Amino acid sequence: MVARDITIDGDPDEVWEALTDPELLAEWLGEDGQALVEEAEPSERLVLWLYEDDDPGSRVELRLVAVPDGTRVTVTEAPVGPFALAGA
Amino acid sequence: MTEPDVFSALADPTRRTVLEEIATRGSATATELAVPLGITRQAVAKHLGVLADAGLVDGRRAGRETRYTPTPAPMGEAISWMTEVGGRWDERLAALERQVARRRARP
Repeated sequence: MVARDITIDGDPDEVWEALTDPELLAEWLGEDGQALVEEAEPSERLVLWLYEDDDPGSRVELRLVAVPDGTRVTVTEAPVGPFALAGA
Repeated sequence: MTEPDVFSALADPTRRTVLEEIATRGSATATELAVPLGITRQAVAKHLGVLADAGLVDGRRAGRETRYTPTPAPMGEAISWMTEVGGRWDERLAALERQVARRRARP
């Protein structure tokens, strides 16, 4: 699993709007990438499945939390196993 | 060998200790690891089986026991996956930050 975080100058609502902007998603995914939204709690949490070609992809969870200097964004990405696909 | 096997094999802290111990010793049998790890030989053998299935260790019969040696390759794959995906997120989060700044700058 991979985990990263960043603190962004702006409140969670602003970060959420930027996060769900199609322009950003296009930049994030590139030409071949595809995303499927599993769960979206505005200004709080976004769970995505990312795919590329035949790749089974990975599950991504983004969380937004208000902090004194803005919004803390944490992301985790975990690969999906063949067993996870079989169970889907 | 798929990444998730490696990750789930390494998800268990005892299993990581077992792997670490084999890597430290160069090779080991379940009996040799049971005492220093403070768990039964059977429990060690079970962990070794999972590590072997994930391709993290290689088992070879030696008399009545199986001797395990670490195989660095899948570990390397897991690490390269983490480096690649982590680097992508550093870029994506920076892009998110730029996007927020762009939107804030708009009147």
